[in-house]
Amino acid sequence: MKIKFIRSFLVGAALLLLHVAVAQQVLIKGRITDKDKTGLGNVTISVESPKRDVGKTEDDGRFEVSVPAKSVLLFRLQGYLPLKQPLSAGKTTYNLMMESTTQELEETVVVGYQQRARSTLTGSVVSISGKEIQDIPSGNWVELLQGRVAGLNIQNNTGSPGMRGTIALRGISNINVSGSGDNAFLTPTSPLFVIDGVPVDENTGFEYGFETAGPGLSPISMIPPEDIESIDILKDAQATALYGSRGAFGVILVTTKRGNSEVPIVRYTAQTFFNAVPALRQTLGGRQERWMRVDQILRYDTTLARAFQRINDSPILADSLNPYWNNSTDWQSYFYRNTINQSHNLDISGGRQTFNYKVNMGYFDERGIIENTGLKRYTLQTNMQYRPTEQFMLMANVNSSLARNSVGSGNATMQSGVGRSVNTSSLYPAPSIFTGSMEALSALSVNDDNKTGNFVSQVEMQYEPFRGIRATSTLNFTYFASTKDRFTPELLNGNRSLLYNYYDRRNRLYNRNSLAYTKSWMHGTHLLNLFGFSEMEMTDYRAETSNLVGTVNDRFQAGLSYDTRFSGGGTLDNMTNYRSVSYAGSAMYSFKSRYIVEGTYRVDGTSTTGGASPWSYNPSVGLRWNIKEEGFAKDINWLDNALIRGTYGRNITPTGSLSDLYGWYKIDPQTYNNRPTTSLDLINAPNVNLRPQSSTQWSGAVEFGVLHNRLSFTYEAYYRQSDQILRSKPIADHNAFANVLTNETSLVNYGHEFMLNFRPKMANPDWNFTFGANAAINRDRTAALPDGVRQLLQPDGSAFDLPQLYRLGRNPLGFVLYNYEGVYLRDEDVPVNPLTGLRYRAGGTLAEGRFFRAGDPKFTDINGDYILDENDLVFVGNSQPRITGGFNTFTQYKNWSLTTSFSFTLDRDILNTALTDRFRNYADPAGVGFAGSYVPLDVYNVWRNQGDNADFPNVSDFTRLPLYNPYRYNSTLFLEDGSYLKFNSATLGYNFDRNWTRRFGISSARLYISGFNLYNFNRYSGPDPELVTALGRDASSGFPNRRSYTFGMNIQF
Amino acid sequence: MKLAKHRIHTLVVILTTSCLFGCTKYIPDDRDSFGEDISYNVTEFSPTIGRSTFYNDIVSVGPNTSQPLTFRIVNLKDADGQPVSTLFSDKFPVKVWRQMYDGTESSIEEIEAKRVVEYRPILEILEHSGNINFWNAGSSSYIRTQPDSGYTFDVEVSNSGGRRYVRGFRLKPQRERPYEPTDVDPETGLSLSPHGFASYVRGMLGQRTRGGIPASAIRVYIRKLENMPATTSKTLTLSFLDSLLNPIDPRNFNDTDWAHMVHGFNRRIEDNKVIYDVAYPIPLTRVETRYTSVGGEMARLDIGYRQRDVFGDIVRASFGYNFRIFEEGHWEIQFRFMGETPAFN
Repeated sequence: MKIKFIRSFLVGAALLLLHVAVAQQVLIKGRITDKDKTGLGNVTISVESPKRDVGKTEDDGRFEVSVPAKSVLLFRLQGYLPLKQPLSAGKTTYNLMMESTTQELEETVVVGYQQRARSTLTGSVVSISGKEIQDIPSGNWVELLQGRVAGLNIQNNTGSPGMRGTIALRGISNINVSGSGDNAFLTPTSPLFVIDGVPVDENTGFEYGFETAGPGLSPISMIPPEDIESIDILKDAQATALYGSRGAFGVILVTTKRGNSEVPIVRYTAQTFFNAVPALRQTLGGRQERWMRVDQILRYDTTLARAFQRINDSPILADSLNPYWNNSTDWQSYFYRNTINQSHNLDISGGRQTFNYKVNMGYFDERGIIENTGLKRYTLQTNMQYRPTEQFMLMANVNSSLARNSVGSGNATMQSGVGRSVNTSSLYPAPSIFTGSMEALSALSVNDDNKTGNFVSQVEMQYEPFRGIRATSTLNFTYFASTKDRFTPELLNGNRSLLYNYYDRRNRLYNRNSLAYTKSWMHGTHLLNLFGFSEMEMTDYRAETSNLVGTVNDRFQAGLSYDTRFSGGGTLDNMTNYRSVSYAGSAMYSFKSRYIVEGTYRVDGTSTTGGASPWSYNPSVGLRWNIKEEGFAKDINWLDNALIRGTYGRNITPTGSLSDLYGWYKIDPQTYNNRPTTSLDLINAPNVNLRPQSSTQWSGAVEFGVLHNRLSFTYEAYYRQSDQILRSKPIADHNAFANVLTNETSLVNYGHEFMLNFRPKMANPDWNFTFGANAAINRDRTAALPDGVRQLLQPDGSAFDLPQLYRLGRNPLGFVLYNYEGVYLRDEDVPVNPLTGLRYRAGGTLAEGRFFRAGDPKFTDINGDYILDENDLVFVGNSQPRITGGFNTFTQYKNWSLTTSFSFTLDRDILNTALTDRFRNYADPAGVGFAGSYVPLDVYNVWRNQGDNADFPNVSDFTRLPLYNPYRYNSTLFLEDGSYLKFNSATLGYNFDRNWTRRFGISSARLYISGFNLYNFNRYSGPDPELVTALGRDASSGFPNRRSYTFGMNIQF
Repeated sequence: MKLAKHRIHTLVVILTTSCLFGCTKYIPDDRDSFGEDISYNVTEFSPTIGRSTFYNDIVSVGPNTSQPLTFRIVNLKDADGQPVSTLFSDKFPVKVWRQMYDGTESSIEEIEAKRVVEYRPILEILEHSGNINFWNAGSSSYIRTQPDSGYTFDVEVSNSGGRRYVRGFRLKPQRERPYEPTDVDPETGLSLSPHGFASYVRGMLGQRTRGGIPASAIRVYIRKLENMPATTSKTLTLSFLDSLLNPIDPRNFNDTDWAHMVHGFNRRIEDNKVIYDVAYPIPLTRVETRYTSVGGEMARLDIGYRQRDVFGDIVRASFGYNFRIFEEGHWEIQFRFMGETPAFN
């Protein structure tokens, strides 16, 4: 069916090629520039009568079209006045200049499902051209937006191909932390993505991949960046108002390419990219490590005899001539690798306003820099538009993509198997089936095969029965399915092979019917735009797994036969059946394009809202004053553009699930009379009063442009309050239920955003330079907690002991740590309890080893009882960056161009948990349990002898280490500055001379080399301050980010 | 024109400031949180007068309260509800530690250098931990002791987020019992018998019957020697009486580690008594040293000698006594062998 559809497109394209007119044709060429002599790309060239499009200009403004002689050419480009050029006989070269209407302002943006001139927007919208992200191949293009939009904080904290890091617009929107210890993660609050007018919720898939089970790819990573025409980021409540039922975290609109050239364009992009392993962690190897261990035992064991015994009992130390132990294995080298990858994309498009089409075919293959990981993506994106008359339009999209990825033994973001294995002592032999390093081996040889398919079909119809009234109906069906087959051979799983199968599917039906009315009076003095729509969504999701243990042998990698005693499976409890209905209306009034007032109101009902108040009512208001339109401002010559706008509005995002409202039944583990029974699940009490999370936002902005708009500046301030955040709270045990979910939590974000664009006038027209910079200062504050308390400490049940502390008025995601002040140089420096005469000690039962002595860490005793315990924890730091932003440059000289992009994250604290992990390996010098890799102590200033003024406490006193725990995870010793400036990417491109390429039948060709993730400037002691979880913890099991170098080529026929 | 410019300027200022400052007022202040979840695990205190008693770990602070907290004792009243005049506000000299006592000190001076005299109220609360101390000062002559209901007080807990009173604490001191083990009744101050017994006996044979001496046959009398010369250093005297109440020469206990039995100095034998110069209380603090029992709670005496057992082997026979003495002074511990005198051969 699908193939048929595509075929019909191709046939249509071929027909169009034949259709090229046979009248007397002349070849016209030339270049279109703006008044600064910068070439204007993408200018539509058409012939006036009979009216039809004949082509477009290249990126540098050059064009070459074949048109009937004596016709009139019409050049059109948004933001510029149309230009008419009658052809004069004999002249075939035209170098023309197009007059700019005020630079950015005349662009149109699709906001709230309506095409709107930028000058009438009251909300905050930032647009990015797809071109800006197309030179870097990426499994998930969202990572390329880093540092490009003020207020959009993207942290690419996983290098797993196709997976996405964390993303938050104008600060986090949820303070809930689930999981514990190393696996604690923040509830993701990614903005809503709207692809070609259809919302796609990114959070569901993302959250899912994190937690385990599926392949972890989201629908967003199934879109090839080459097919993206533009990306619009809607930041405030007015801009997102009409996406309200999910828009509380902001909205990112993605528009894919359309055909708009009568001459069909075939564009081929090929990229070969080389992924390099970034800096890894330093460890001691071989003999150095063995002697370090021996020395440690000799110096610190209880007696010398015990030390000798311990050494002699440990073959890893004593049997050093045995080839099994005589190693210096560089574990990291077995798991990290450099890879060569490729990406190809073919884009065929053409047509004019009455009929146009696009077919985009993509192939992307990336092997991860961790062994046994990778992503292959096959995509086919098509659309067509048919507009026989001005009154009627039909548009259809059919997109299908398939991805196949492997995450080895880890999950979408974490590689815990690899994390632990690279943390292994170098004395162990390299992984092989004879050496027993099963975890390492399984990371390398588990057969993890994931497939994800995404099928989108969409039809949109528009009809304008009377001038000014336009009815639109959009119907979208999306089917997203993924499977996972993971086979662990029997050798690696205690002689029982393990087959894990996972299958999920999500289908979604979306429909929107809208009616728009536009009316202007008195030659445009008054402009009124009314718009109303209803929206409906139905989503079903269901995931099933089976865990089959003990197949006949390793050749049977399917569930043909298995050991039923240990096998299990079934439907996962995250199945959803979601429905939502919304009604929305908006009205916009503009007076002389000077004053613009806009209001929207929407009513949303979702199935995850409790029956007590099923509807949410969300208003929004926006005001805009185009100062430059005022009479007095027209005379100010230096000021090209100035405006003020402000908005207020409220949005919601559904949270929770049907089961949170009405409860779960579960199958009991025990039986009654040998028959299975069901009972109420007593974990969460049902609560029919649940409501969606709402976000109320105030936002104001000032924009101005000076020096002929060469310098433009935008300042925005915002205050956003996220209320009714869903959070579980424990209730008294006489309630039968353990917890109840409520909407009592609130969070506030406020901050400032700055954007600056500078395009200096170059004396030499061959040169062209653009500089853009943006920065955002954001603060998050907890505003309300369940039961009206002012503070809540959420304990962490794990050995990491990293609780979360929420306190009203403070940043919600700080750290709860013991305050480390340095090292006790001598025994006498340890304070003595005047009451008991005992030294300051670590908490727990009194034992000699718990008393602090020379070389031990000096932790602040907050409550002054000379015992270090949980009463001495302090609340410090902020794991969320306060300042984020970036800057980028574009330099062009003749055919050469250079693009660079930087991003920065400032004022952020991170916890170097990975370093803690590695220091903690010193607790077991004899390697009785798990012998971990040893950190070289010379690199860190570690206390070794009495009187050493060291930065790090004594790590070697292994008999006492478990008692006083100097290298505890929750210590400010490992709290570091996570600020960084990252050189994200640079691209050097060369555009071939068209006259030369034309000889080979190529209308334009461009070669480029680019680098991604080039350098990170920071003061962090770990490898990468960006590679931390959303909670600011540098976990050992993170997937390092690749550094990639690309050689790419764009050819257009 | 100028006016217009001005107007823009003011508007910009108003718009931005109104948003920034107008909005931040909705954000709660960042001040300490004071929850309902602070509680004391102990509300009735019955310390013994003359002993420093430290009630540690008696406060639980829940997840809704910010630390550090400040604690204060208020509303001290006697059981009749009358305010107590100055008893608990007066400060008494007590010895507090400056450096850690670890049992390796080689002179009284070295021990005393590690502690200093400070003036503290008898009933004291530690400012940030809420732990309650009852110092070894005062006397039952003016402190109400059980069976009197004693005193009541409240604890004021505060941080910058608020304050709360934890009410209904009772202080019911017990009268002095200057040493342990003792069977002095805390209410009456009377004891059932004037002596205790040895903690253990190992293989001691009696002279008379060559039978074993049980622990119950070794009576231990602890008494304070009142009319000793006034010297700066206090003493601990050990003496032994046979079944006829004649003194036994301590040298007979020839397998006794006299030098390391008591953390005392200047050991001498006078009138068949072993005398040490010691620092009080004994043990000085609850830390395990070579002079204490396991855990460091009691001082440990182990007195032994070589004897020929019933099979003719020379073996070590010993008896021991674990004790504590709280009151400073010249104390004597006297062991009386009842019925049987050890057979020293």
